[in-house]
Amino acid sequence: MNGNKKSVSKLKSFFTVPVIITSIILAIVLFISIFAEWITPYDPEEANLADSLCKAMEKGHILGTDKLGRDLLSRIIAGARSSIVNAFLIVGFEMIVGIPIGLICGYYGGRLDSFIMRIWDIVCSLPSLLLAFVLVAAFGKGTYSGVIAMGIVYTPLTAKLARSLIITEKSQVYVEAAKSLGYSDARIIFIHILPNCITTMVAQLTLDIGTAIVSMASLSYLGLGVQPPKSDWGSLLKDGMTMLYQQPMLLIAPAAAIMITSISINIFSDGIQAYIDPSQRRLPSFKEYRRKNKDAA
Amino acid sequence: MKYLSYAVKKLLSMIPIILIVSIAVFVLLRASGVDPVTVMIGEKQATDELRESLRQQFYLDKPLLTQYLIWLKGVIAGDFGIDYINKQSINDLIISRLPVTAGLVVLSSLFGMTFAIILGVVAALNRNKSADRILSVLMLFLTSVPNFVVSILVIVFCTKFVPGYSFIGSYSNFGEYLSRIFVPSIVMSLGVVAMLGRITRSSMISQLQAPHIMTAKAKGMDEFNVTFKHAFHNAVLPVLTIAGLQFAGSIGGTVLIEQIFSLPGVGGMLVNGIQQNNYPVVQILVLFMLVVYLVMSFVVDMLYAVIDPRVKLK
Repeated sequence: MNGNKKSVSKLKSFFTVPVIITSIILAIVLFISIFAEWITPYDPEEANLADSLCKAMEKGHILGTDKLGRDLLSRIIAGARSSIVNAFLIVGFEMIVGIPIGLICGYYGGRLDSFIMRIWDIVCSLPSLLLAFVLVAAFGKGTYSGVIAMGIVYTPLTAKLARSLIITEKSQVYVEAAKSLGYSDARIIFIHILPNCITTMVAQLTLDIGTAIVSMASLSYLGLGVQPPKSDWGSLLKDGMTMLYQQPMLLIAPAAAIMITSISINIFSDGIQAYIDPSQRRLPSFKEYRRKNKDAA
Repeated sequence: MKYLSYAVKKLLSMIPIILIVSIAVFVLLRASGVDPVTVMIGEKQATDELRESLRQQFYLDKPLLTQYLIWLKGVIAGDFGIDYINKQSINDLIISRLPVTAGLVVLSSLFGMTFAIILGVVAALNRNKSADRILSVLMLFLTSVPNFVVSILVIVFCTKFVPGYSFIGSYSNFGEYLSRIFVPSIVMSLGVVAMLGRITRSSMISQLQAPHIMTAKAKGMDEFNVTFKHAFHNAVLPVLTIAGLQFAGSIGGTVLIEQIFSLPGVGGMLVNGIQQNNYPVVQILVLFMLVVYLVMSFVVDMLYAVIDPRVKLK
């Protein structure tokens, strides 16, 4: 009973006003990108030259149309699908590759660890966008090479985080207990230690989804990521740039979509961070504190 | 003398990084499977003899290692090779495009640093007052909005509401050059302002609470001297290090900004090089940006060691 009550109040401290607002926004974005096909009012790739360059709210196009008469709102919804999916793929890649490498390096230490960390240092010495460009140049431009390139860019950072976490975690008593029971190292690392580390990593990984959306959009903007006729928010911006003077809405709408998502993810991840790390949590004011203590007494 | 050996050690440790990265870039680009001769010829028809002669002219018939060594020898001698598509010397291309990129990096660093330090100090001096609250919301906003989206919105805003503003134009004199890169460098500095501003604020706050400040106040020193001579001096140290690294990193960021504002800089050259599989250009530019980045972080390290006597020189 007591434990249950405690966990409720803990959850309450997670749902501060900014977190509630941003989680609603993110839920909407996720919903849109999952059900993109059913939500789009028009076919996002169908050209209709009769309706070319409609202004907003004209001829039933809520945000207007582009040069080829494609409905902008539909294109943004379809773009949300590929932007979000790509961001999840990037973060998935860095999790699947980075976390095991980091855990293994941190757990065993020694020569392997210092070798891999030396490589990581070199990789990290390149500015991240530059590294992504080189990788895209090597893999050829396209959605998947963009995703893999970005994944490789972020992997060292995830691995470093996992490594630093496991180094403090591996001297805990429960690890020693597991060892003394004769469990294999793989079982100790992935079943016993990983769940204890993952909560700390959640905030960083959420933040990475935001960064991934932005960096994939910038690759697509440069024409190195998603290729036509497919589009994401970055390539919508690239298309819109040619119509800068005639139809600024083509730039404003996708820019707003990227901005709202990215800001929401940042604030949301700040919320998670504050929830996980109590030292960052806002302390109750003295009045609240005294009232709580009275209740307890 | 102490500094000299430290500097030499640091510089020597850069060499393996540069070599490894250059080898990696060289191999990765060759591994992409696009034949350089096809890149050179383009859509045109070509006889086998022409292909063969091109292959020999650019040493493409030699093994990969030999190619790399020839290229490296050229780079060390200051000859960056020949562009595959326009058949021009890459040295000239870089020199003609460098002023824009260099201007962007320098100007945005100056703006970024000035704004960040001013805002950070203002926020720290008004801690927990409304000015501080507003500034911290602003900084949170600036850190989470992506730079390139902001620049697009700035372009839309300028074309709509600033009459006579044009992003396209010549670079014939210094005034025009400055007016071209002025707005882009402000946009570029925004992210830096947000990050450095936060750091300045927290470092200034912790300095203002330090015992030596209390001593200075107890001696009856006036408020201005206490804040700006004693606290500010120490508070600005960590800011400088991070600032240096940020600016070093901004060399990658110029690529996007140049492309968005259609500035003829080195970054645009890199993107075009990647799109056209123009390997020599990509190789040399990546190496160039890496060296600039490393040298800038080296300068930061040295400055830090000189400014802060507590730094241990290893």
